[in-house]
Formats: sequence, structure tokens, C-alpha cells
Amino acid sequence: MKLARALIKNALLWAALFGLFAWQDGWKILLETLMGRNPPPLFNRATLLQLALEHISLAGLAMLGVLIVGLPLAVWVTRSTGKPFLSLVSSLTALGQTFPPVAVLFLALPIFGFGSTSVYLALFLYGLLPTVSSTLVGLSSVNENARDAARGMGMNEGQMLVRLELPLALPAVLAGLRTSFVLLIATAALAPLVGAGGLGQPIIAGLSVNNLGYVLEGAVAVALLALLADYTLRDLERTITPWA
Amino acid sequence: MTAAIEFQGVEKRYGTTLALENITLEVPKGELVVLIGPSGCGKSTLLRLVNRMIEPSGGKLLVEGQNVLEADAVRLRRSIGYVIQSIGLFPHMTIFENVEVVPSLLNWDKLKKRSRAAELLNMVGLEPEKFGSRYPKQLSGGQQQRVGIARALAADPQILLMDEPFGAVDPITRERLQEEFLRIQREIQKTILFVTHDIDEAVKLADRICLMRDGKVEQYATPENLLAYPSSDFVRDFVGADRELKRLGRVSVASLMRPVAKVDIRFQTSETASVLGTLSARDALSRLLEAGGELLVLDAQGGIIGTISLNDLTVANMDYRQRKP
Repeated sequence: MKLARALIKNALLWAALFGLFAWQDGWKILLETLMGRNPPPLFNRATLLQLALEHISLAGLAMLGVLIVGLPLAVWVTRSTGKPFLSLVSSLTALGQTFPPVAVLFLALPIFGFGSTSVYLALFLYGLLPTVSSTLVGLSSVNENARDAARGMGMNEGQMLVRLELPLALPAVLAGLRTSFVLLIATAALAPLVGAGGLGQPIIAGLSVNNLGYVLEGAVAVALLALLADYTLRDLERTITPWA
Repeated sequence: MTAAIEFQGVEKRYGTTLALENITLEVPKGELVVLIGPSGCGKSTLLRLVNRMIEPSGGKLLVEGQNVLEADAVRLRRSIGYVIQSIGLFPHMTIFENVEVVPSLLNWDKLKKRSRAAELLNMVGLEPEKFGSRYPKQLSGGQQQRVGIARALAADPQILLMDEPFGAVDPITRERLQEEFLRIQREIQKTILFVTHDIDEAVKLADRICLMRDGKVEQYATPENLLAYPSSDFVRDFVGADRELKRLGRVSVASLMRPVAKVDIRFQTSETASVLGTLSARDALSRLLEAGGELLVLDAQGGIIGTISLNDLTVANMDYRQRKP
């Protein structure tokens, strides 16, 4: 009930944001008021809506990869079979984040060439850490007494994970996902450096032709996406963990 | 005497240290046996052997005739109620869901689970309509402890393991919980293994007390016999210098008083103080020390059923001490 209401509210907010992106004339007036008409401050090679959709799909697909790889990885290294790899995995994911995404982008270039594949790789590596490490924290913070009670009442390993550990780790996991996703939305602005699209296009083009209107347009749009993503995920965290 | 749990020369070794040494013990069906002793004596270890949370390194442990090492651990645990000190309620589940944990592991249908949970919550004194859909965090420590007991009883196990279940609540709540727990136990007659380090709790609840020290059984006896005939200086010290008082705590005034056949006019006109026959002899002693002389003993309706004096208590005590166990 509460969840349904939160979902509807957030869907409406996202629709409103993309409606705002679609309103080319409004942006034009706004940017011209702020930056003057010369040079024309509104990016003209693609509409803001197209750019925003490209951007969110770059970040979204990379995030999907993070989820598919990161969550099972974190769960696995906390099980008895994966335990020996726990420290390896946590240092590797940490390493993924010490590499600046720009460096990963250019390192991926010779392998995958220009285009979105390199961007996905860079974003994936960069987004893995917050998700994996907070899932590890969440799973390891499950109360030892609750675990003991669960085992003593006859839960097997799988039941402990599904009925106890994952639900209790959920707040931490969701917080990690949120950090990852916001990070990816911000970092995806670098995608045009290797020939992919997104809201980075007006920013990078604006910087190279010294058109601050372009930069402002892209930067504001990225910021709005990141803010709303953060808000939505926070909202979901609250509604699906009513016991916390 | 049929034994629900039987330890036959059980040992538990951790590396080279011996945590439990040659434990032989029978827990009779339907009795409440308290394991007590100083910390590190092995009482919790002994308890956790029963549902195979820990496995014995030697000897044999039979639960309802079956060797635990031959039983399926998960199925065994589902058939034994388990209550631990810090309760271990699951914070993300409502009170109903917490009580229904074992029934859902056993795949009971929804209606049956819910009605059983409501029945048990009523039994432990929590209204299901009011508390059922709350989360553990919204309950007091004492209430959580009641839920812990209801949860352990959910699938109607014949054996209950309780590891300091009342350890984390304040003294007044603890006393109330103990009384209610005794009432429940009289009703359900489970075999209960109960760990505590509180001798008063042990004396109050136990049918038998198993006093342990350094992984060995020091004395296994009824509370009365443990208090009256401690088998060693260690037991004597452990039960405390007031052991005779503790023993009186388990006896009612009515069983020690001098009964009066018909009400003597002397008593009706006197201003002698009175006590209820159901009161413990220990509390009556305290009243005697306060009032001096003699007390009237009354039944629940206020009728006089006897008298008790300091001398009666002394005589009764001497009698008891002359009977060897």
C-alpha cells in the first residue's frame, strides 16, 4: 500500500522531469536570459530529451551490470564456499574505484574502440564498489543472536539468507545501490570523450568551443537526474524497510 | 521415569581443552531441569548439544531415544523449542511473523499459522489484535521475552531449550515472567532444559537442578535436596548461606502450619496478624519476625485454617533435615 503510493509518486516525478527536458523552448528562453543570444546557448545537435534518455540508459545499463555481478558476488563471498575470496573481492572492488573513470575510459579504448562499450566497462568498474562493499557491510552486520536463533529454530543456509540476512541487509544494500547509481549518472557525463552520447555532449562541446550555455544546459540536466535518482531510491529505502 | 533427554558420558573438547567431561544425566519427560553454575562451567555448551548446535566429541546423547548425531540437524531443531537470552527476535518481521517462523518452515497453511500464533500470544499475555502486527522494536524487553517464549512453543515441541531467557529484563519484570512461565509450564508440561546463573531463579522454577563446575556435574538433585544436603563445599558456597531460607521459599505456609479443626473463639476475638495459606514459608517467616509470636493462616475466602509460629517453622525444618534424601 505504502509502497504502491511511493512508486506512483516517484513515477510522476520522473515523468515531470522528462517533461521538463522535453520543453526545448523553455530551456532556450532560460539559457538566453542567462547567457545572452550570441553564441546561441541551446545545444543544437540533439534535443535535451534525447540526450537525457541516452544518458539515463548509459547509467542504467551499467547499473544493471553492477547489480547482476555485484550482488551475487557479495553474497557469495559471505557464504562458506566463497569466504576465502572475501578479502580479494573487497580489495579488487576498491581498486576499481581508485582508477579515475577517465583513465579506465582510455584504457578500454584500444580493446573496445570508440563507442559505448568502453563507457559501459568504465562505469561498471566504477560503480561496483559502493554496491559490493555496502552489501558486505549489510550482511556482516546481521545480529549474531538473530542468526543463532534462526539456526536453532531449524533454518538451513538458504533459508537464513533469504528470510533473515538479505532482508536485514536490505537498508545497507539499498544505500549502496543509491550511491553507485548517483555516481554513475554523474560519471556518465564523460562518455562523449570516447564517442558515446548523453548529457556530456553539450558539456564537452561547450568547453571546446567556449560556449558556457551548452555547459550549463548539460550540467544542470545531469544534476537534476542525479538528484531525482537519489530522492527516489531514498524514498524506496524508507518504504520497504518499515522496521528500521 | 522415562527420560526425554539422556546424556551418557558426553564429552566436548575444543582443541586440547575439555569443555565438558563425562556428563551423565537424565532429564525426565515433562520436568523442568535447570542447568546452573559459574560462567564457563559448560552449562550453555551442554544445552546447545541437545539441538545439535554443537556436536559432542565423545559419549552419547539421546533425545527422545534418538542419538542426535544420527538425526537430521535441521529437522531436530525444528522439533525443539529454542529461547536465548537476547531473545533473537527478527527485527524485520512483525510479532505474528516472528511467532510463525517454525510453522512456516514446516509449511503450515496460513490460517493455521495465524490462529496458532494468536493462541500463543494470548497464552503469554499479549493481546494478538494489539501486538500481532507490531515490530519487535516497538515492544518492551519483557514483552519481547514473552514473544520469544511464544515463538519457541509455536510448533508444539515436546522439548524446550532456554538459555537465560529472563537474563536481560529488570528484576520486577523477571519475577512476573517467572511466575507466568511457571503457570504456563503447569499447563503444557514440556520437558525443559533451562540455563541460568541465578540460584534464586533456579530454586523457584526447577523440578531438578544440575549444578555444574568446570565442565562436570557437581550435584544433580531437586531444589529441596540441593539446598538441604549440598554434596560439597562448592555447592554449599554456591547456593549461599541462606539456603534454609531459600528452601522455605518453595514450601507453602499451609503445609507447615498447625491446622485448626474448627474456628476457635480465641482467634476470632484476638488481634493476631494473618497470612494466606498459599504464601511461601519464607515470606511467612519474614512476617513472623516482624509481628512476633503467632500468625493466623487464612484460606482464599478469608476463613481461618490454621496457625503458624516461629517454633512450628523450626520444628518442621528439623524434621526435614532428619529425613535423608
